Amino acid sequence: MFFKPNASSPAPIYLQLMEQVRHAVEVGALKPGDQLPGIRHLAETLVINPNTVAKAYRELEHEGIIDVLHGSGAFVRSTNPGRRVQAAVPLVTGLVEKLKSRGLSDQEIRRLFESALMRQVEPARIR
Amino acid sequence: MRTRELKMLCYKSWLETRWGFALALMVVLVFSLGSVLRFPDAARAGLRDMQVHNHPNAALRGVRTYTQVEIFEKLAILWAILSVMLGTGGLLRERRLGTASFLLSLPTSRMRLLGVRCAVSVFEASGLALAAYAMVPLAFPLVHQSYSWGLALRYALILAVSGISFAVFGILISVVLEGGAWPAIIGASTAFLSLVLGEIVTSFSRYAPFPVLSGESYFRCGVVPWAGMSVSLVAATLMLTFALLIVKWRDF
Amino acid sequence: MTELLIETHSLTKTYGGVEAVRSLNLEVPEGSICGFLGKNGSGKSTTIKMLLGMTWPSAGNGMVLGQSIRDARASVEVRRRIGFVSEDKRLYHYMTVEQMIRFTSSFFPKWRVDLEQQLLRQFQLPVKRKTGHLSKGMRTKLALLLALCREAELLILDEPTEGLDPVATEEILQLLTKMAAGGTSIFFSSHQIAEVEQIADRVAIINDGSLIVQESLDHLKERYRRIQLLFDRDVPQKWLKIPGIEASHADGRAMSVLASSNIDEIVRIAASLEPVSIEVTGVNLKEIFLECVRES
Repeated sequence: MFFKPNASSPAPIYLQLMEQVRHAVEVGALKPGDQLPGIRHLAETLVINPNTVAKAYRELEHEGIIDVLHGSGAFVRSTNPGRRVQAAVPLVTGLVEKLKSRGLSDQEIRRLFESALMRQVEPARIR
Repeated sequence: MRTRELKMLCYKSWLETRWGFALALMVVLVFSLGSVLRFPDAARAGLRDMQVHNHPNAALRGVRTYTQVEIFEKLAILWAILSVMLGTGGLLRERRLGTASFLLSLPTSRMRLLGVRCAVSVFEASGLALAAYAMVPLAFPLVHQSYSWGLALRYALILAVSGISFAVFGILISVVLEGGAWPAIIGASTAFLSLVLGEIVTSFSRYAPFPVLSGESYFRCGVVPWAGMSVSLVAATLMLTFALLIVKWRDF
Repeated sequence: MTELLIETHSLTKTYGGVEAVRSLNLEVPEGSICGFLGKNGSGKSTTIKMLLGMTWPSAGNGMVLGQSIRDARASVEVRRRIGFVSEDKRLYHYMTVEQMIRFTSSFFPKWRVDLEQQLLRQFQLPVKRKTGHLSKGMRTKLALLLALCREAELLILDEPTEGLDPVATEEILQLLTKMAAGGTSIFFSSHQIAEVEQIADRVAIINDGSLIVQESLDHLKERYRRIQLLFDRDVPQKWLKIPGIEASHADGRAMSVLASSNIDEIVRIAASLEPVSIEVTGVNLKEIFLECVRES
């Protein structure tokens, strides 16, 4: 269910896990009500620190993506904030097609989006 | 729980020293046996000496004298040196070998580690003494003579008890000195010297180590050298205490 | 407030005028896996030896599992609750694997025979072979077995995966995470930064006897940033005296800045210099470590 996080990446492992869950929910691999693996089980399978898994789950709960029920496990929340993202998909797809028709490459489009985000959001504020 | 730990520590000390012990045992047994078997030749040589110098050698003066002069006295020196060597080893040697960290990380005190090693060394040294001396009454019938078992045992006990300090000295040396064979070499040399020097300082003959070890007073007049043995035991206790203190404060 | 399983106060060790460990204030909380990083000769092993009562501190004090490390008697009982693997993975060469296990287990009443059997199978250790005839890798695995089966509250491991191939290393890391999930706290030193990054949640970096970093790995990674700038003219140098900048490197019109704090301010000032491009990226533990132990 989960991919092995890259420990040598600059991104903290718990953030990578959170990103994996968010992505899975957005694309529908995880549906509302689905149960996530237990903390201990996931830590042993991915060979990462159990505290890291616990932290990821805590933060996801804080963000409202999952519910952690003491004793039963972690479940994807019924109210799916991923719907916002799903609604944005046609907008982004349309824009990307437009830029491509103007002759821009994938890399150029990606860089444009990133620098636009850089100018918008306060830099380096992951948390 | 504690008993099991002690048993294991004793077992480990035994495993570490068994080859040294076996070698030492072989040396003293060969010496004892050899000396006993040489008795007839020594007696014949003595007869020739009598004709030339009119002076009886030990063999001519009887089995008891021969045993005391040619066997027990020499065994005493040999045994003392071997005891010291049996006592060496221990934590410093382990540090060199790399196993000290493992041992010291176990839930047991340094005092107990040293104490066990000391006990095993003393036990082995005593065993060595008993075996070497037992060879005498065992072997004399081979040359048509006899020697009293009880007598041999008494001399062995005198040696073992008064010689405890030698094994403990070996322990002390190996706690103070590092480096391969040096503790054994230095220990053995010191033991040898102390015995030889003791002979020279005759005014202290009651406490001189060599006569005490060989049970000279018992041989001459049947008096067990209690004073000498006590001094030796006191010395052993002092050396052990000193060794314990050094080990306690050492960095590993 | 989580209990501290290891804490030291100004712990110092001097060897003949040279300070091997300087005034160390180490803290290892319960339930964490703490990675202890440092170059060779930086004081890692000396620190660990002091924690275990093998070496006496020259100054300062420390507590392990609530007991002072200067108290020899208390130290004995503490060692009953600790699993230790030393830097020297050497064991008694005249004992077989079986004998080593029997010897060691006699000191630990809570010895886990089930785990012992499992690890013997998993590591494929030949029980009748003398430890002196084992390869380095096998000796390391045996040393780990002897430490892990004690059912310890705290594991202190000095380079636990030394001499192991990548497959065995991963096996060990998996075992360690399993123990951590079961409540064991782990304090381990390592030269393999990737390992530390994978399973540690706390990192302590020691250099030249002093502790220069001690915090959660996540915080560390969130604190450090690399800022890469491109200019259409020569790179301006004077602005680099901003607090938070650890290192910088300029090459033609490109400049790379490593910062450990004050990122927003640094980026703001960098932006004011009108570069043609600014990129802010994260930094991994290896780069952070290399920067921290660099000779200034």
